[in-house]
Amino acid sequence: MRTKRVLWSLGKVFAAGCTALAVLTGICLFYYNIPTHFPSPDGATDYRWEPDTFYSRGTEGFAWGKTNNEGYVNLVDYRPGMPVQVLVMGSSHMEAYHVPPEESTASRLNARLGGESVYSIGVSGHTLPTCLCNLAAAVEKYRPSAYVVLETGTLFFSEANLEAALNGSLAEIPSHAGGLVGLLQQNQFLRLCYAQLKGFLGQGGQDSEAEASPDSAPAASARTADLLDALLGRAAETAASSGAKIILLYQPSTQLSPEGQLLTPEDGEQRALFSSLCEKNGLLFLDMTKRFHEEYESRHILPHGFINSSVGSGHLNSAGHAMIAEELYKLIEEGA
Amino acid sequence: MSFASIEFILFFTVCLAVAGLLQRLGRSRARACFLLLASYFFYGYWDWRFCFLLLFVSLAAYLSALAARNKAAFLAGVTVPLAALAFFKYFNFFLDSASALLGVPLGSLRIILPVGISFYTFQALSYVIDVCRGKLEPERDFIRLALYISFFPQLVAGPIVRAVDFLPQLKEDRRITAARLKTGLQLMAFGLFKKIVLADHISVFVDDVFYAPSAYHWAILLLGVLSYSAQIYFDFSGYSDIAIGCAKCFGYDFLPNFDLPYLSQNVTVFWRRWHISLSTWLREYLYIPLGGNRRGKPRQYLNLMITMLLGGLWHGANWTFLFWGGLHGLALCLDKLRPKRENPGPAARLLGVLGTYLFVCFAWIFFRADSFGLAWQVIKGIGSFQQGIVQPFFWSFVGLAALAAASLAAVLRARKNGEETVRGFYPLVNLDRFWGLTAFFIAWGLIFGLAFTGEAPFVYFQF
Repeated sequence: MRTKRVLWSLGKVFAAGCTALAVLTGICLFYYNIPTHFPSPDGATDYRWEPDTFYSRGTEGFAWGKTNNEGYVNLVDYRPGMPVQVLVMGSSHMEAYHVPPEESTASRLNARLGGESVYSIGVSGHTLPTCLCNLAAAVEKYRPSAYVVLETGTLFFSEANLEAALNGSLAEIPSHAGGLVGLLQQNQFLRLCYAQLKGFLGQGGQDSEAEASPDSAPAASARTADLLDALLGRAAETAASSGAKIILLYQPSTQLSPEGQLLTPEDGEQRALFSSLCEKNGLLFLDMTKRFHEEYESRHILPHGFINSSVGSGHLNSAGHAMIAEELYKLIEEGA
Repeated sequence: MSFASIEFILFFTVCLAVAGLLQRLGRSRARACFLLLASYFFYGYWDWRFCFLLLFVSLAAYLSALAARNKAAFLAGVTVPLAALAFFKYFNFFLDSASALLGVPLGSLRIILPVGISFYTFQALSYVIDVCRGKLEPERDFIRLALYISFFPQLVAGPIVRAVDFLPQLKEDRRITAARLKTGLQLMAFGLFKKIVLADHISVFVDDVFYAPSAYHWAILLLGVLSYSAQIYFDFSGYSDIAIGCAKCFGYDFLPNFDLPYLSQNVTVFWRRWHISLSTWLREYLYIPLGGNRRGKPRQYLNLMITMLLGGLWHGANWTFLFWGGLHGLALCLDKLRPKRENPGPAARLLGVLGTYLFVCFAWIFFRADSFGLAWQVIKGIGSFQQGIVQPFFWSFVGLAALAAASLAAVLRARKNGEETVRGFYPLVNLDRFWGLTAFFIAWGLIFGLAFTGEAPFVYFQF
């Protein structure tokens, strides 16, 4: 009799647990629904998300949408041979998971250019060295006819990373789409729990991504300058193979000072270095520092941060994307 | 070890299992010893050296209470905890203030503030004073007394459990039961939700606003102040709920520490509903010994001011806390001066609640700001309709809406039951039922999934 009662209670606990898991998974579909990612078959990026899949993000900003047929966060589906004028590459900022898909840099630029000519393959974790590594494959596949935009949130890179990018030995961002881990990733609540657990253990949470903070930038060395020179020179050649020019987009991280001033990294020397290297190698250097300051000083608008995250820091918000799209448009118009 | 950590979950589970096992074996003495050791481990997890301070305060209280009829012993029992508190918490503050006053640099000592010192010293004091007053027999069992002072659920941030309330429970055969576990775990869930979901998320915005107040639009500054009122309530009442729930799981009952304070119609009522264990302590061991209201009105006002100023200083070694206490003292005096209406109408009650809430929020500015300059920037920004960043914060609205919803539910419940006083309550579910159990699991899942995982220590740890 006692055993029966215990079994009955255990069964009830199990059933209640399963029901709760189902409800929580349902909630997560609209709060934290990140598709599984797979290694990219063509090398244009290190990985891609599951294609044609609904995603949502409520942890930093509120956004939801559907990945395109290739698995990128892009309003445009890719069709082999489709004309791509502008190819956008970069990190989670260009992936724009945190804003509605129509408000991303790529979508806004597309709207300004009036067509389906801008294609974004921005994916989380793709820093400039990673993008430079993937550039040849990306250009070969998409054949951008006018521009390749390479976004970066920092101008400071370690020598080791640059060397690795130059000789093609930069470690790829791994995907764990197979086996038990892949199966567990299918459940959004478990995925959220994993991210939370990492956060509790101090290993980065839901939206952690390394960003250079304004005061933690290391000094650049002559060797770094040489490596950058070589990398940018090679990138320009690669882009030119399809008739495109590279726009190196620098959107600095921002934060506020106690006096209420907008701070961007003290990287004047580095910006001058990038500017001269871009000019030397035939790249366009779009530095958003001035625009970010102007917007803040004249209209108190910040390019980063959301209504559910720290003010002025984190990923690009809708206003930030709009500023970048506008500056890109101006640059492209000037070029035309 | 913070309540809002993976380490605490493991610690709590192990403690509960071992205490349950010892209870099953009928080893109540071993159980008390184990809980004492566990409490010291919990405390030493921050800094093991302060375990000696805790032990010293406990020993001093134990020995002086045994000879409490002796005036010197009583004085020692009161002086030792107060001296420890004064040295660790206020020494540098007084030194800095003296330096500023004299215009001579007097230097400072590198003193680390032991976590929870304000709480356990007050508990030790309450024990010694109660024994001296004859309200309590001196405790001859040191283990029991040490456990009263160091019991981990209330050790580092209260509630300040008085000896008369808790020591008798330690003498009884309090047991871990299924019913207590069901209630305790639900109270802990409420507390964790308030703390790691609401308070910690809101703290992100409040920290931003108080970091650079000159950058924000006046409406956002106002939202920042209101958000802080929600943050500090959720933070501290959340901690209290966890402590109460945790103690409940082990078979002990702590009195409630908060009771919908923002529904108070005046500041006097606010202090009966906010941090009840501290206001009770201050009334019992400071205000009443000073003479309370027994020596005429002027003396009562003076007593109120002294009590609230010291209450303010108890919160932190900074002039802003003293000022905050002074503001509340002044408001209490004005409330005593104010002619009272027998049966105020609904409009007057609503105005009272609103006015009290706004006053409390105004005072919170000084509580939160690190300096008067910063507090003034916030006040000036709001008062001058400053222009700046307009970025509202989602979690502030969630927190304020949760406060409003809980208040409304309590009002409706009181009305339904025909009760004169509105009291807070916890909508506990029946865990014997399938849907109750499901709701319980969903609640824990939401707490874990929505929790803020950045750095956000309990606000009251610093006190």
